[in-house]
Amino acid sequence: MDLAKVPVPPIGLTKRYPELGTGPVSTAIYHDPDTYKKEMEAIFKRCWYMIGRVDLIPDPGDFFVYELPTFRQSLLVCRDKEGKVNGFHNVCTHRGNVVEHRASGKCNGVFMCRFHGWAYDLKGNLARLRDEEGFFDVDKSRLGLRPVALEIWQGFIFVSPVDEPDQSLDDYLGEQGRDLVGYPWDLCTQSYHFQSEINCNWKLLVDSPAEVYHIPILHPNSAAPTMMASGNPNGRLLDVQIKGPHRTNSHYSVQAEPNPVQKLAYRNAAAQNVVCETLSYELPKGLNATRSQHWSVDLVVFFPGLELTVSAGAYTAHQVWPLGPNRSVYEQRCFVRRAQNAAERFGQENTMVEYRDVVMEDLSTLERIQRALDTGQIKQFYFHDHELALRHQHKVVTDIIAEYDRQPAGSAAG
Amino acid sequence: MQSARSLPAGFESLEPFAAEWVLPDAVARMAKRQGSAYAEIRGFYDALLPLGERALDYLRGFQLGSLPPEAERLLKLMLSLAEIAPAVEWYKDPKVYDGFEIGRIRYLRQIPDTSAQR
Repeated sequence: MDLAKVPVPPIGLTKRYPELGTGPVSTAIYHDPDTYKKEMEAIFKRCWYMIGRVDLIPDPGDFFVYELPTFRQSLLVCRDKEGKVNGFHNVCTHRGNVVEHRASGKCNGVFMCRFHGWAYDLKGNLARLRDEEGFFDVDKSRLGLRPVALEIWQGFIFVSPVDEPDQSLDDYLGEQGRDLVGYPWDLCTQSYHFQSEINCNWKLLVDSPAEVYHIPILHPNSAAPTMMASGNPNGRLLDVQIKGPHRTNSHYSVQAEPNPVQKLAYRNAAAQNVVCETLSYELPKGLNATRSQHWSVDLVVFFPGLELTVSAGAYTAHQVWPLGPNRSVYEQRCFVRRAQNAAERFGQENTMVEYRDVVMEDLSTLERIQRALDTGQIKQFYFHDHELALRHQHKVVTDIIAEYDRQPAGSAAG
Repeated sequence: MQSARSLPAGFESLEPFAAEWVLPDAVARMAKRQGSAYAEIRGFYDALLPLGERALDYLRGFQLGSLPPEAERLLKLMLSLAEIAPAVEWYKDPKVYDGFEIGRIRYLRQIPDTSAQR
């Protein structure tokens, strides 16, 4: 490729969205405890959360347990004998112990609580009540596991923390979700998954991959050489698409000369985390929206806290879980394609290690920013044209809180 | 307790590294990287990298889930190479740039090293 002819992406993204303004923004929503309480009510309880893919439980009886960090609810997800994926609160209806204590596995048909032995089938029905004679007028049909609101999109399992969500998963994902249909999500059946508690507001963690203005400085040896090769020294984006509360960044990249181990992974072990020049499928319109030949990945942000880094052949899901105004859990799932042979297992490991290490380069900075926010040492943020995603998030949160404040106290609490 | 044949023929020069760098899983590899002096990491990298392409050519002939023990050990050495590559190629240090402590991350799920995948 003739690097001299590669155009540098221009300034001019923000002016496409005049409603977002161009001025500095107040940092109050990044640390204020009162704002945090309102966010919980007006944003987080209304949202859907991705907790894994259906590939984790391919066969009847397969299950996994997942604890929603923000809500501290333990959930049990399993596949029943008809092949349907069901989700329940992992809580025995007798006295509240967890019904399944393992993180994942295969169930022989019943989940048995290890406290008093009540047992439930794969549809959540109470299958066995030990020494039933000793209970008083119990109706077993009403003592099944409490179902959790669960829906599936493109193989991703989403749950709601409330029993009756006021929007469907499709409504929540909206246009941005529809524009991603057609990507081969189901090819990436293998995943690494980790969490880390970070001392910062959830929005800082969402912001972190949502702007690449910092890449040349904070990722000088890892991400920067790829993004900056070819005369894009400031690491500008190709494009930002705003779709309701959600947004997608398109990343510009020209493959620089890979490092030696990267070369082995890409060329000899089918690693998929690189610029891909030929595709075996057509990208949906939501990815590489400008159809640039210099596209590498999109960062797809589903407000508030789910971000998907999607390249032609693999993807990583980042999920941010607030724990308080200045504490959050960062969660990463790195999804890769099935290894066709033992060599390709090396390519998978390369992809996981690179995504993990690049993200870890960001995390110390976020805690330093939070300290400056908490101490009142910074009152305003100044966003670059290509930090548009952060400006948009600020506006979405601010508007939702303002609307919440306008509601009568009684209904707002409900 | 390694026999002389713990790695496939042609990879004898890597035998001195097998005891340290054939590890049970990704979490153990991560801990090994963080617990090693940079010079030790660099020594392993310099020994394995020149054989990397040949190792992958060899491993391409095997399916996960049915690896003979010597192939399994060679694969695990290569997985350790993947783990330490950023330490050498990006950081010149076991830690990531800006030093976030890797002990603060907790794995909930790993891809098994050698099991068949579907």
